Amino acid sequence: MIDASRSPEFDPFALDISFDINAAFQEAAASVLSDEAIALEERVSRVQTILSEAKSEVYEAFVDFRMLAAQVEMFCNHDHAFRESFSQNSIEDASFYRFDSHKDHRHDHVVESRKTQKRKEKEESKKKKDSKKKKCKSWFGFYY
Amino acid sequence: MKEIISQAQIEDAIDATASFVSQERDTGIDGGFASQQIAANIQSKAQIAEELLTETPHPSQDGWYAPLHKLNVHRRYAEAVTSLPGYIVLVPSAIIDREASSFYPAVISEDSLTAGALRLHVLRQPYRLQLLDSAKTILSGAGQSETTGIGNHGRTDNDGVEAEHFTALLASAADKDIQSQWSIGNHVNHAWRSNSGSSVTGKMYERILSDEIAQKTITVTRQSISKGKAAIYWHDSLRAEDGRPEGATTENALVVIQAIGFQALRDMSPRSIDTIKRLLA
Repeated sequence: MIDASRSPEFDPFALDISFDINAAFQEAAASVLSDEAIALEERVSRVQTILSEAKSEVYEAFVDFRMLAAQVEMFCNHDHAFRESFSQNSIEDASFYRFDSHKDHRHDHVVESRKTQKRKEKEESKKKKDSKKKKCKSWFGFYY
Repeated sequence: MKEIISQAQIEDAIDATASFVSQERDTGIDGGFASQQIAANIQSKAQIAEELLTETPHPSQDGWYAPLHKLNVHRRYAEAVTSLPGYIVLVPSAIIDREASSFYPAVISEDSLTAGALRLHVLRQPYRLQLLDSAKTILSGAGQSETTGIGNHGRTDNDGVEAEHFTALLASAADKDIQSQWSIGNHVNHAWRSNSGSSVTGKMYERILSDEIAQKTITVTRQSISKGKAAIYWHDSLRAEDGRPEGATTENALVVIQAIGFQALRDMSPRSIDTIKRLLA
């Protein structure tokens, strides 16, 4: 009598693509680590050590760098003047910019760029009217 | 010289920053928060995850399970999408590398962008019944980079620095296109991802370390599993010290990934770090 649960048709591990499940089991059972795995282990271990040593030069530089990025992150969220200050300096055609990762992230930078372009035009017009205003570097190092 | 930014504006900016930190709990790229977040999330789903992961054992291979496959996908898929994010599982290598037959470790992302789909960060190394610390760190870092609350992944309200893509920002320092985008106010930092299936952290390694750590992000759907094109596997060895299924909870994993990128970039070209600083400041 055929045991239906053991037939390939009912095997929950079976795939309808080219995949040798028995070879995969054998690969998993191999006790020797691959060179790739050993190399990765060494690299990650080295960085973890660096991070655990707060006096390390790399650590200090990295933490400083992260703080800088975090500050910009916050400003991108809350201070639209930051973005607009960049826009004011932009002279490029927005239609030039296309990104392949839009679909992944569900926000279209091309659309954003067009919006930015319209805003830029409006701001340029305003800027001309108020030509007496000077630009200077602010407390945060951004131009206003 | 006239002060363009007033004291009141500075105070407003400080208030807004304090409010952001308070509301969002983290500071955007806080790797410590990311690991805590995942740990809390998987703890709340531990029971159902354990059931899902161990429901379908292999008939003859001890310790092997197929939590999600074409025979149970209609019954279990929705539950898996809800309960398995943050856990480390195994995928058949053939869904990425057609010629290979091994199991690759992967972490299911908590990324809310792909509602109804399983987003997996796959480490393209054959799994050999143990998860080395490095593999867990890399997988944890990838999983943590897209955890809900870490920089609002894929937010639609602006195109500022996506904090979970801080690693991408590191990689983009060597990319002229990214630099030109930033100089005109388009703060994208992942435009170099020419392949939509590529991994943010994996791409960083490719850009900075010449593909030393092969990683890929894939999306597995109900349809692909029901057609036998994909499956999720699991092995008993994927348990943490407390006996529970392993999650992407390695503390500071995200920070380690970022630091690897930072260190490599600095070693490779100190000017690259200066470039990023110029982009940011």
